[in-house]
Amino acid sequence: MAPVTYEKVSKLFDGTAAVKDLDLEIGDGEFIVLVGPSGCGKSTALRMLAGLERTTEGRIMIGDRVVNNVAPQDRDVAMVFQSYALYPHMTVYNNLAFGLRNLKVPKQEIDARVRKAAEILDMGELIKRKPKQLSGGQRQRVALGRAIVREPKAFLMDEPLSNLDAKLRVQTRAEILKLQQRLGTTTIYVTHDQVEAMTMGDRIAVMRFGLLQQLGTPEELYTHPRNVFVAGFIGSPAMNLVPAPLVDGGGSNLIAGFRPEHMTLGDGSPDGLRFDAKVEVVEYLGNDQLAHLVKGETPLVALLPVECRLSMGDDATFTVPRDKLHLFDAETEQVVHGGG
Amino acid sequence: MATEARTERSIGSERVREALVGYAFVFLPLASFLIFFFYPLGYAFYISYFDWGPLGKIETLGLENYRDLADDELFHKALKNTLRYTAVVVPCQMALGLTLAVVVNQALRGRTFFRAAFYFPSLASSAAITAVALYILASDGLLNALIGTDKAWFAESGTALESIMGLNIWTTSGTMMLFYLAALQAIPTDVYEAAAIDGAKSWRTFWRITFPLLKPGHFFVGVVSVIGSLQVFDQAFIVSGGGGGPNYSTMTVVLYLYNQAINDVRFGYAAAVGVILFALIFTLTVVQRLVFGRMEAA
Ligand SMILES: Nc1ncnc2c1ncn2[C@@H]1O[C@H](COP(=O)(O)OP(=O)(O)OP(=O)(O)O)[C@@H](O)[C@H]1O
Ligand SMILES: [Mg+2]
Repeated sequence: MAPVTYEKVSKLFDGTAAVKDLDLEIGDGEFIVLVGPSGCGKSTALRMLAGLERTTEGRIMIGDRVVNNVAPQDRDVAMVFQSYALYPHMTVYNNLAFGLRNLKVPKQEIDARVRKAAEILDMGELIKRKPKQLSGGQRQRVALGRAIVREPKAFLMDEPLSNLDAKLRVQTRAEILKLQQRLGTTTIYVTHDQVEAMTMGDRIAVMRFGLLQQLGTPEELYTHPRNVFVAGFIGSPAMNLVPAPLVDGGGSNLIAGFRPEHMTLGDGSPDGLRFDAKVEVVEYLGNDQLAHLVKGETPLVALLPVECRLSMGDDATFTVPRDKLHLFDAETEQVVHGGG
Repeated sequence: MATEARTERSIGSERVREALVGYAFVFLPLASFLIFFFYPLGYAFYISYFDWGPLGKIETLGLENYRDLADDELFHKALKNTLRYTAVVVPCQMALGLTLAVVVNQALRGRTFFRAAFYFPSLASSAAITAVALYILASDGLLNALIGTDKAWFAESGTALESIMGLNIWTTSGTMMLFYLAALQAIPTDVYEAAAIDGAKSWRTFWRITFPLLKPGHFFVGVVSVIGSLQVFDQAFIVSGGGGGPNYSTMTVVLYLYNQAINDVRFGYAAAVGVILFALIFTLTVVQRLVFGRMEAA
């Protein structure tokens, strides 16, 4: 267990930057999520920490050791790959034991640790099988098991859940969290799924085009997005981002942002933004309903209680409380006000 | 109901048509395979039951040819030479081919050049290379000049077969390298990355990851190498001028077969030699299949 630090880290592939000037301090035992759209440099950032890619610039530290020139073998981190990357010719037992044998851990201790990991992950009877004889979810467990037996300084996970079906993903998500809390190992978790990021991370680093956009707790990102990109990326359904004049939110140099769940039907609070929009489609979600609206040409989305009676083609009035309004500079896309 | 049945039938006939098209594509190669492989094979079995001369059948012998072979000391010698040759050449070829493949699979500068250079001997005709080797290994040749001896390598019965072994290990290493290279590149990178993060240094990675994952490559190279070795002929023929000398130390099974057929015109007897060689190759291939198949299950 150790803190991890990125200091002005950049990675160029043939002159194009996959990661630019990344500064990130990850506390000992912290669970941090790197999130962003495809190609934004998440995997590259993680692979540099693992030693699988060299940094072009900057320093990476594990604990107080600079690891830029340390081989992956000597970094004492464990990684869970999206593809799992299990050793296909080895049994589950040997998959878990391999890393410990490399470290010349005594045989009895290896056995004890492998059995314990197998027990934690509830895969006792699978231990003699080969990866080929396992389901996707079971392979995923083996990949996790291989990381935890090592008791490394940090866990690195690159989209470990993306090959699982939706139900298993939610289940495993909770399990990884429990496991991490129990072991207290510093974890850097990469995903492109903001729901995963929001539910798992102590803190989240949002990336785009190789640049860190914002670093903060899930709540901070949700309530105080620093720019238009983070505002639109974090939260589901996504925040409405429209020219401010359209909703009387401000001048034409501003973009107004407000979340679907903060819109109410009718006049609502007196100091709120009030505007009319036309209902196009209503999606029934059980507790709530998702109303797809248009104001002029601009689409909007509102999340409303099912009690609100809405039907296609209705014109209706909506309100957004002032303190839920975010305003961004239309030019720089940076926040100028909002999210109180 | 009716529609369902019709769809089912049309899927069925679709499948039949697809199969027919498939067979049409393989018809020519299959036909030539049958004509040029199975027919001669069957014919060899057939004539091995006769005393068969240049004009055809002379006398029906049944298993006589095989009984004679059992007592034929020169044939025994040829068989022993061939097996010894195979036992040395196969492991050496595999080890050298694998080593070269691993070397040129590294991300080193100029690896395309090395790949081509190592493969080059496989392209040259073995007869030409043997002819050059005759000069190099002659008593006043390059090798002796280099190591300061005057041994006639091909002319002494203690070194003649060994020299052919060395020659062949070298000339075929490029081909074996190519097979192994293909097998190496079929191993996914992420497995190596996982091993590196798991703390495996390069030597352990090779023996614990690369080597076992090369199993399909070992099988393929092993089979090709065993078959090639059991059929060794041209180098022995050239080096000994066809006689298998000195002192029959370079007499191989195929050379013996050739001599029986061409020099002594005993086609039936030669065919029996061929049948025995076929049985040997067949058995060894099946054994290899079993060995590698069992490793798969383990
Ligand atoms: N080995 C490489 N050579 C050249 N370019 C690369 C290499 N690896 C990654 N890149 C580029 O670097 C950028 C970042 O890639 P990276 O794999 O880190 O993205 P990512 O955020 O993990 O995306 P995804 O969600 O799709 O996995 C991409 O533009 C990619 O094309
Ligand atoms: Mg990635």
